[in-house]
Amino acid sequence: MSNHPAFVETMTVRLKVNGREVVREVSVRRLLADFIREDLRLTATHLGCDHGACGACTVILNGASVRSCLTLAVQADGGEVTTLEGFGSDGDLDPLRQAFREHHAIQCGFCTSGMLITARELLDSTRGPISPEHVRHALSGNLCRCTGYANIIDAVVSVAARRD
Amino acid sequence: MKPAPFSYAAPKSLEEVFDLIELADGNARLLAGGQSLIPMLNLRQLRPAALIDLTRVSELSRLRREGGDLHLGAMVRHSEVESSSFVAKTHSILGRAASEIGHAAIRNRGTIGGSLALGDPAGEFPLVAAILGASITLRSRTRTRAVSAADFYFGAFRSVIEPDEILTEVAFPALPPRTTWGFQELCRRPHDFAIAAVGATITFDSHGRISRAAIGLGGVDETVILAADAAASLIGTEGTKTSIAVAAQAASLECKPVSDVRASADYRRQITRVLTARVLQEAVEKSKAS
Repeated sequence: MSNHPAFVETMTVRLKVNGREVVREVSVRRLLADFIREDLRLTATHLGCDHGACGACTVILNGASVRSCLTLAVQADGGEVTTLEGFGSDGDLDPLRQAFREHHAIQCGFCTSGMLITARELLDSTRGPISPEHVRHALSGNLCRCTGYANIIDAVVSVAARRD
Repeated sequence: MKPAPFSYAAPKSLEEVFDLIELADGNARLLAGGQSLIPMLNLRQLRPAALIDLTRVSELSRLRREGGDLHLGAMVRHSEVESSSFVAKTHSILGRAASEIGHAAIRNRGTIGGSLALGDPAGEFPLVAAILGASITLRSRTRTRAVSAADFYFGAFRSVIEPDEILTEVAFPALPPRTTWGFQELCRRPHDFAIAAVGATITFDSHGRISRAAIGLGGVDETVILAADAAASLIGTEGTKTSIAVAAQAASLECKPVSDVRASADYRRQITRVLTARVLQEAVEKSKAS
């Protein structure tokens, strides 16, 4: 049966979060999103829908963006997680964060962390020019209920253009 | 919305997976990429007693070629299929189909085996597997069997996988020479669930006539289906606008779409005709270009 010792209900996980070693005992049903917010108190990562539709909880796991609400904390064991807190510091803003500020790409800010992480992956994984259409496609999995997206697209395109 | 309590195991080999399946005695779910299973757990649509996480079973993540056939392990991620030059070299339709699944963060986790095992009638991989005549390998501790993709589903989200089996691999046969393909789907928002999806391969003989065709329809029936009449109508033609229109019309009559919150049955049928014409045109144009 599933209460056999081969199946566990809690586990010790060891991982790197924003470059820092973390060791914690977690319930196996703990979502990575809740682990980041509740256990590690890193609250830039937001949880909107809990089923992968809104994109607010997007983080980088082992070099690739993931929905932290669709990943268990135990699945990050031995891995590396980067949240928005790992993107530069408030005194030395990441170019994307700076561009969001300059283009007023934020209203309530709830979706911003997921937007920035998805945009960062797009910039890092795309060679050559990035069109507004390209950005719209890449960000189509990140919902914003305030801005109407135009300023967000402008902000990402401006960073892409400076990079070329 | 958090998963109900479950117990968990993360085996490293298939042998261990079989041990755990036996121990769990029908009460466990296999966790592949989790992009459909975890939402169902979060919404508490499913409350399995245990999860067997396949992430660390490295033998399930292999890509290899045997003869001209492309074999993809069940845990190969959508993003890998999308970007792999190894895959694109012989089966570029797979990368195209993978690129339509969810969003980047979903494709980075979701797996081809998970998608095939789930059997969403609008799923991209069940659709291309049917079109390409793929063979899906199921293994239990005592037996290994290969099931053709066309015989794999008997209803929405219902497949022939037995409780003691695990989907380990899918093999895509080499495409015959002078074969081109088309793939398109209609979504309200880019990368959302498809209202309808259509894919096709066509093979021309040395005289420029179609000698072989496969047309697959997704999201417009209980399972993904092959539009056999539509494909047959193309044989011997040169893929002209007229023959494409005939095939598209036939395809729209071969499916049994339902009405739901996304679209009415009539609209789906109409879209099936339009998309079929477009993918066939896409395939014909590619053959002219090559």
